[in-house]
Amino acid sequence: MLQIKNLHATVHDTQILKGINLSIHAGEVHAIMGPNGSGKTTLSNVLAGRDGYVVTQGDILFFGKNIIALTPEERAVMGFFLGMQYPVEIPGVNNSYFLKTALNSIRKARGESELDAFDFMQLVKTHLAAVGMDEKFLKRSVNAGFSGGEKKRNEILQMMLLQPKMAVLDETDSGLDVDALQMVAKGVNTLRDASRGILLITHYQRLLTYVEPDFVHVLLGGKIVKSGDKQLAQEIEKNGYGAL
Amino acid sequence: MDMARFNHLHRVTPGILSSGLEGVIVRETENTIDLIIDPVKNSETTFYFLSSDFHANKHCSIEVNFRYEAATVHIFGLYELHDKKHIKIKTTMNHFVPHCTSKQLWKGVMHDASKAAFEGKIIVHPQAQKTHAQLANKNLLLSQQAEINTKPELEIYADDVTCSHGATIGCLDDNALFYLRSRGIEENEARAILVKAFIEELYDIGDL
Repeated sequence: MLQIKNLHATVHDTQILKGINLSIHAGEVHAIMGPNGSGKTTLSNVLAGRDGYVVTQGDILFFGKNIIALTPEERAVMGFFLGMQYPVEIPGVNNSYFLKTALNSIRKARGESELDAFDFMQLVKTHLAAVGMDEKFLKRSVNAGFSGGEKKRNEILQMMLLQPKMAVLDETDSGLDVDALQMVAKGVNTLRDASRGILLITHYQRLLTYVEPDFVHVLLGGKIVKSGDKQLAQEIEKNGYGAL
Repeated sequence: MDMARFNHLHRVTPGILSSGLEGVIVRETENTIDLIIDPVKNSETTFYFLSSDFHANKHCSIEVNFRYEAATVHIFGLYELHDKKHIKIKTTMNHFVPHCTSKQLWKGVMHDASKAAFEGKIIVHPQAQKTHAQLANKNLLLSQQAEINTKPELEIYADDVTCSHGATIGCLDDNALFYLRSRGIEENEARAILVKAFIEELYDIGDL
């Protein structure tokens, strides 16, 4: 479903990704682990199509289609989702309005009918319980004043609403206490599906205890240097990245 | 206030507008709009000035004269311009007497190659002790060619007062724009949502 071929990318003219190769099939959960500065967030931003990240070589194929020239919104319509490490606060933009607009933008672009306010509220409420969020978070501005855990739950809520085919979660576990981590992991696990690919990008092993990956890759200096299964994650936890 | 109705010197009595004002003078010529506002004792009045391309290429001035004690005036102002239109807005708060409050929040949204100049003057005269005056001017530039010149000014001649002023100039938050787009919201709509959020702070009546 997602094929990354020999991907090279720069940010502010600095070469960060130096030849990444990765294939993720539907139903698979992959994890990419790496130390700070290895290129984890660059990879997730390049996949999402963020301005300022330039692909200098290589391809990104999503459902067989090269997406490098596609805008972030076009990738979302195709079914791509990026869960951010630091979800931005957007004061003045109502959270419920944002969620409904996002969902309807995607539905409209796919030729599906848009949900009216009533149907949307019904849909959102079914998911709120699953992420442990109170209805009051719908009335607030997007992520404004949310704690770290609440912001991550808002990301998972968005995933549940938008039902992406390929979800990349960038350090979703950073800054979370154990309770919030378990709640987020539970949310991710409910999204595991034969039709969906999930890529967890993480520094620490602990999320992977709750969301067991099928494949683990190690990113160092902008390249994947080793791949394995979940045992590899435990090895890293024990011996560190330097041992590789 | 529908300023288009006034095209010459015109004094409006309080009965028409509000009991908080001794009078409002509105003077409009081809290139200028001037408002002179005199609040009465113990009054509290709020004004919204919403400028748009309609008032483009004009000089607009708003003068509030505090001649009676314990008057409060809140002003919320918005100017939003497109194309190559320009506007100049000058506000003058004259605190002549003690115990009055003036609070202003002005927001500018400059599209395309539009230009705005904002001058916010607050004069606290020597007898005007216990004056409380606030002025904030926040501007959003939406293109490289848009321009804003903002100049808040305080002239304070009394020594027991609270006055503050500030001006900011910014553009849309890239992170916020990317966040909305990454969720499937098309770029132009995402920008419009952020501009609307910027403007709507004016209507959340709270502390300036």
